[in-house]
Formats: sequence, structure tokens, C-alpha cells
Amino acid sequence: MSELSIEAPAEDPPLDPPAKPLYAIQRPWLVGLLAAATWGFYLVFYMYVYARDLKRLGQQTRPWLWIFSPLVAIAMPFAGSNLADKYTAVGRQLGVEATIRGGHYGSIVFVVLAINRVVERFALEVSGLVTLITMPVLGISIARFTAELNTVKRALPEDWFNRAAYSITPGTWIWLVVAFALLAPLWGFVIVDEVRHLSRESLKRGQTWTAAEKTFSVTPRDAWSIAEIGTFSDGTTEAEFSYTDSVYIMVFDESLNNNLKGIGDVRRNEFLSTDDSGECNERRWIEPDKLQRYAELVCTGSVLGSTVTVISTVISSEKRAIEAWGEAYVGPGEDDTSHNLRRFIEDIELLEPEA
Amino acid sequence: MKIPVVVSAIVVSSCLSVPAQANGKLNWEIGRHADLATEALGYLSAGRLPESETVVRLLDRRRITIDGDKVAERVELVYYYPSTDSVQDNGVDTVYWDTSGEHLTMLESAVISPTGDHHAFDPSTAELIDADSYKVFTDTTSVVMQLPHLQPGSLSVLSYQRELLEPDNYHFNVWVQDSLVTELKEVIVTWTDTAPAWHLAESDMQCSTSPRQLTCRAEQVPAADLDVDVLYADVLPQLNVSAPKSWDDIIGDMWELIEPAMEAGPNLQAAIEDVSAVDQPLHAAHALASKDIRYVSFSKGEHSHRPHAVERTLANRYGDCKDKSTLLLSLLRATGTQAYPVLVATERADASALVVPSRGYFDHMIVCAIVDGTERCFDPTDAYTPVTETSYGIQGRVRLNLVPGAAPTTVGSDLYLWRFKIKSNLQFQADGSQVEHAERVYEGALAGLYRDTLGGRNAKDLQEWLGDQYRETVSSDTEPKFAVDMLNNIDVPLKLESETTFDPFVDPDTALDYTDTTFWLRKFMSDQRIGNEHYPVSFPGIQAEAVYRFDLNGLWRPWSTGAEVDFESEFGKFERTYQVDGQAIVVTTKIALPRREVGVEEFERFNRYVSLIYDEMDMRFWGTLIN
Repeated sequence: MSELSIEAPAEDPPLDPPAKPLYAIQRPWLVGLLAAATWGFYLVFYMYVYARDLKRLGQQTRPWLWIFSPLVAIAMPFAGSNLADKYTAVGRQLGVEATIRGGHYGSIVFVVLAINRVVERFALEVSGLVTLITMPVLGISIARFTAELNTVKRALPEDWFNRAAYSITPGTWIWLVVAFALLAPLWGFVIVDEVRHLSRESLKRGQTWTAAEKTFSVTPRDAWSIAEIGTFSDGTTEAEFSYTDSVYIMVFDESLNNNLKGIGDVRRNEFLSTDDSGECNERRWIEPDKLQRYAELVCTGSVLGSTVTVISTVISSEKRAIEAWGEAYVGPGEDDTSHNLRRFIEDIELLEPEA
Repeated sequence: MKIPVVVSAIVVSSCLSVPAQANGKLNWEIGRHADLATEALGYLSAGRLPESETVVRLLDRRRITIDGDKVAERVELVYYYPSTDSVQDNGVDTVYWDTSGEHLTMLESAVISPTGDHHAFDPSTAELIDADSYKVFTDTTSVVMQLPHLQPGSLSVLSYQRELLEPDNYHFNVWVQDSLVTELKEVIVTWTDTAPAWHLAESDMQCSTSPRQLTCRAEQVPAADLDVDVLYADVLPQLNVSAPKSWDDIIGDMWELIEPAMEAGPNLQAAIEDVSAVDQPLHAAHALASKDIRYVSFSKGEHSHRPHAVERTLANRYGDCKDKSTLLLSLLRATGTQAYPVLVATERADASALVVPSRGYFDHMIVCAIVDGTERCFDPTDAYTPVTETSYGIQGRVRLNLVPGAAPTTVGSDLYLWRFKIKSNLQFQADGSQVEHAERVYEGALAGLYRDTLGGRNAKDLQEWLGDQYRETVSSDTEPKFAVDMLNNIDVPLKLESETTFDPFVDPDTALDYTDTTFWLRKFMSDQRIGNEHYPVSFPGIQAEAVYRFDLNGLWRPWSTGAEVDFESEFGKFERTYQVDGQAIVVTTKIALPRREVGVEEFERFNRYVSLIYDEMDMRFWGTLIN
């Protein structure tokens, strides 16, 4: 908790009223909720507003620069510390001795955002779960930071603000709409999917899953969840497995016209129809021991500035085809993650029907 | 698995021998040997007939008598026909008669009805049919007898005797198992002086010896499994009885027959001078013996194994395998090449099965020579295989080099018997049609087969034959024009060029989504599945390459290409690559499946592999409109 002092240092000059009203004092829990619900994007607005108020209170700041601190996460410890120092200085002008741990909370925000980036980069399959843990941490940190800043803001005359303390401003309303009307479905999907993942029957690493009629089995190298038929397909598959929502396996019967060539052509046409500047390459080989045929189609293109790599691997015997489908979005400047996708599917084994 | 279509033209060629010129005699003494019919009646009266739907051989008895200068085999057979189908399918008796090597006496041929009535065969209705295989030196005629009064429940009896004209080299090859169920099989060999050499392969038959007699017997012998591609002499058990000789004796005997035929005269001298005068005497000698001397089956009488004099062969300009080989041998030796004649068993590939030395196993003669330190073998009855290659018909077959100290081995085989390359340049036209310039280059045995098929045709006939083949293989609605290069020069690969225009079939105003097929490879691969079920197969080896260049001709821009393929297994390798070359897409397909023995347990895998390759014959690419 912050510590308060009721005597201002004698050497600090008194504050002049701001030229424009300050942003209303906010409820810490509401700020925390907005930051967590928007995956931290609310901080862009938050940092700008708090920097703008500092400028109106006579501090030397360039508010638009503060917008970038949440986007470049490493800047958050410094931005938080700087923000805290300037509000502490304002507090001293008001005669309020406040302890605001900006560097502390900025560092927590940085760690949270960094963990999310790293997980998305190297462990995509658990990114949803990690987000469910890190975003509340981020929200709590920002709420605590706001509470400490409020010790200063509460010492300011009420008529300096554009709204009464703790009232919901139009800006907050906008963010509430963004957070709950637009992002709620996404959050809901992540939460439901993670819960479903946890509740699904799991196929452990190296474990063989055999169809009830014993016509085929699947032995993946990594752990997969057994998904309900129709989760990733139109419902015509014999079995489906998921690793994440963008990496999954579908098992087709040859009679569904999903043979080796058919699947490859369909996937290629799907991809190129959405990105005609994309590139697809396919190679086929056989596994010598069982003479199973493999086909791997790798399509790479661009979606909203990110590189997207799609891999469709089809393993086919004379009577059955398994498609392992993977899709990876790769941010600007990041490496291709197709290697990880390949790794998911390279050890799948398809058994022939028993005599 | 089949050999290419063009091969069939050779396989079915008939022999030119004429039974009327035979040395052996055919005598009919039917009706004077009733003992076998009496024995057969015993089966009926005792009710000892088996339950069966197919014909059953109740008795197969062979009495081989070796009595000084007289060697004979008496055969007694009793068949049971239990059903209408067995009557329909087996109502013919056939006796194979080596007309140049034996007298044949028909002792009994009759049908015994279910009620015991006896119906003798009428010899005047017998047919004599030439039964020779092409280019081998046996001289066999089938004596075909349509059995009278045959009905379900009948028995037939057949008895005949062969008397060998050359008793010194007798050889009896008795099959323990064949295509019919046999209730009782007996072989009784008696001799008065020198015991024969004999060997029984592992089987259900048991043999016992007593002074001057060998008795072998097997009961309830099941029918052998039949297959599509098999040399039965290699896989079915046999009892071999031969004059007691060593391989060196046989080699010496053959040289006594060959050497006099090599005696030089004016014709041979002239031929030697002609051959020696050119840069490559080996090529010239081979061309003379294989192409300039036409093949005529001429293994009559004493010439079953004795070649005709080289002088006579050159004068006649024809000869059989022995005559052509002796001529080639004479020419090669005269021009300083180390050459030797070689006997070949064209129906055998397992040299280890020749336990008892005998020349009776062999039915063909070729010449082998040491050229540049390496042995090369030439079959001068094959006028179309280059001198640098071994004829496909003798590859892997059992041979006996007529060189002192030699023992049976096999003729060397190519790693890839079938070798060819396809090069196709296809250019899209503005109206959506396509123009193709294609080259097919055939090498080795495959070139020989094509030359055999195409040789001697006039230009119109040649165009028609190649056009039909193209339409059957590539597209039925085309009129390709062909140019044939090096048809008569057998020592270089054969090149077939074609120009074809395909009617418009793509829309030049839309993006290109194109599929084409490597038709020539697909056609070849369609015949490579193994059809056998019971016996191993000797896969002959395939090496093929197809390079298709699709020129988009400024109508489309290459966008995406089909799958790169790399199918490698223990049976070989199949590869497909794509390369974008400016406005063109080049698709290269390679198949390399080396020669190998494919065991029964490998058939499923082999056929699966062939199917995997066959399914990859389509080429795919996509193009975007330039405008």
C-alpha cells in the first residue's frame, strides 16, 4: 500500500490549475479489468491519458511517446518508473507524500507480455492457458498501480477533472464495449477451448490410439486431444485430434474422395484463392518399411502483415488417408514455425485393417 | 508381370521344322497290348475311384530299359474323368514325340466307359502338330488323339514306347509332380550293363535300388500349383536318369560334333576376309551370323546336336542356332577373339538343379567371347539385339560353356533389361491446342524388340503401326507423324520421333490448372505387377526417364507446380522433379528398378510399390493469366 504524507515540501512550487480538465479518477479494479480483458491493449490508452494529465499539470512529457511503451514491452519498466516519479513530484507540490512503485509494476507488465510472446513463439499449444494466467496478473498489477497514482489524483481539486471521481467516462465506455462486446467472444472461446482441452480424452506422447473397429491407429509424437467429429471438419471424418486449435489431425476414409491427390489439390486451391501471391510446395515420399505414402503440402503467404504457413500432411495406405493439418501465423521478423508443425505430425502411424 | 507388347511378336513365332522329314518313326500297335486296359478295369470293378470334380491320373508308370545299345521308355497312363467338365477340358491325349531322336510306338489308347465297355482310339484320326519352341534345337511333334465315347465316369488308358536313336546320350527327365492329381506314380529303371546316373529332387517320391534295377514310387501326388510367370523345371521336383557321364564327357562329345563343322573352305575364307577388313570385326561377324544368315530350324536327324558345316551354312545363307553359332565361333576365332560355344537351357534358370550331368537339359546354343577382358555372350539367332548387349531370351538361363572343366552356370543378366527415355516438348497455342514434338529412345533388348516389330515394314505400314500404338497409349484422337532413326543399325539406340497436334482443350482466357500424364511410363508400369501366387519371379529390371517440357508460350505465367516425388524402397527408386524455366515448366520423371529375384513373400510389397509408382504418373502445374 502507498504511504501518505500530509505536509508538502516547502521548496516545491504550488500547482497551477490545468489548461484543460484532467481525466477523471478511475476505479482501480475497472482499470485492471480493462487491461486484462484487452490483452494489455488498454494500456496504450492508459499510458497516454496519464502522460497527458501530467503535461496539463506542468510536467515535461510528450504523451504520444507513451503510447509505444506497452507495444514495446521492454519500455514498460522505464515508462512506469518515469510516470511514477512525475506523479510523485506532483504529489509533493500538493503536499502529498506518495510512494508509487511504477518501475515495479512496469516490470511486472513487461514480464507478463514477454511470457506471452515467448509462449506464442515456442509453445503455441499452451498459449491460451498461459494467457488465462498472465492477464489477471497484468490486470492486478495495473489496478495496484492505478490505486497508488490515485493517492496523488485524489489530492487535486475536484473541479480540475472532467468528471466526478470514479465516474465512467466516455473513453472508459468505449474500452468497455471493446473489451466485452468484441473481445468477450474471443475470451469465451479461449476459456471454453481450454476447459474443453482439459476435459478431453488425451492421447499421450507415443501412445497408440486405435479405432474401435481396429481399422487404423494413430501414434503421434506429441500429446494430442481427441476431438469430437465435426470440431475441425464438416463432420465427414472418421476421427479428429487436436493439438491446438490451429494444428489438428483429421482421419478420412478413401471413399470420401479425400485421397492423397484430392486433399493436396483442395488445400492448395483453398490457400491460393485467399492469397494469390502465396506459394505452395508439395513433396511426396514413402515410408520404406510399410510402403505408406506421405504427401506434405506447405503453403506460405501473408495475412494482415503476418506470414502464415499452412502444412497439410497426408498419410495414406491403400484404404485410408489421414490428414494432419497445421496452420501457423508468424509475426513480422519472426522465423517460420513450420518446423514445429512438422514435428507434431511426423510420427503418425497408420495401420492397415487386420486380416 | 508381363513383357512389353512388342515382345509377343517374337514369342508366338512358329518353328519352321517339318515333321515329315523326321528320322524317328511313329508306329501304331493299338489293340495288341490289352494288359493296361485290363488293369484299368480293375479300378472300376473294385470301386477304387476317387472323389473328385477334376480329372485324376490313376496310374503313371514308366519303365525305362537300358539294354546295351537299346534304350527305351514305356509309358502307361490311366485317367479318370469324374465330371462333365473334366471330359470337356481333358478329353484329348497328347504325346510329345522328339521326331529326330526317337521311334515312337503307340501301344494302347482307349476309353473304358463307366459300364466297362472298351472303345479303342482310331489311329487314322490322330493329328500330328509341330510343338517346337522358337530357335531351340529340339524337334518335337505332338501326337494328338481325340478320345472317343468319353463321358463322365469313364477311364482312359494310354500306353506308348519311345526307343532312343542315340542311346549313348540317353536322358530321362520324369516330373514327379505336374498339373494333375496322380494316385500312383511309378518309375522302374532296369539295365543290363552299366548303371545309369540318377538323381531325385526332394519330393514325396521314394526310390530303392536293387541289382540292375531302380524303382521309384509316389502315391497320392497332389497337383502342382500353377502360376503366370514361372520356369517349372526350376521349381517342380523331377527324377533325372542319364547315361553316366561327366560334364567334361559331354563337353568333349559336343566338340566332336562341332569341330568337323568348322572345317574351313572357300566360303568361310571369304567371310573371314570380309569380316577382317572392317574396323570392328566383332560387329561384322555378329552381323553376318545373326542378320545375313536367316534363321531356319534345321535340327533334323543326326543334326539334333550336330551343326551343319559352316561352308554349307554360308552357301545356304540359313541355319539354326547351332549352325549360326558355329559360324560365329569360326569367324571370331579366325579374327583372333577368344570365343567358345555354350549350351543353354532356355527353360531353366537354376544351375544347381542340374545334378546329373547330361546334355539333355539343353536346347539352345550360343557363343561367348572374351572382349576387352570381359565375357560377352551372343545369341546369333537374335538378329535385333546389339552386339554390345545380351539377348533378353538367354539372360539368366542355365548354360554350359563348352570349355574343358566347365560346369553349369547361368548367362549374365543386365541390371536393367528394359531401358528407354522419353523427351516431350509440348507448346500451348493461343487457341488452347497443343503441339508436341516427342522423342522415344529405346536401348538394348527393348530396341531389339522394336526393331524386330518394325523391321521390314514399308513407310505407310510403319506410320500406321506407330500411329495405332500412339493412339492406344497417349490419345485416341490424334494423327501423329513419325520419323524413325537407326532402325537398321542395331548397334545404337533406336529413336522414334513424333509430331502431334492436340485439338484445343484448355481455355486460354482463364487461369491454367493443368494435369498431364507420362503416358509411356504409365503404360509400361501397368504391366509390371507380379501375377504369380506360388513361385518366385525374376524381375528383369527397368530404367526409364521421361522429360516433359511444357512451354506456356506467353499465355500464362508459371505459378505453382505439383508434388516433388521421391519413392525409394528395396525394389528401386522413383523420382519426379519440377523446374520452372522462364515460360516453361520442365517435369522430369525417373524410374530405376533393378533386376532382382522377388520372393513369394515379397509379392504384396512389390505390387504395392508398383501401384504407388503407377499412381504418380500424373504431372500437375498451375499458371496465371499474364494479361
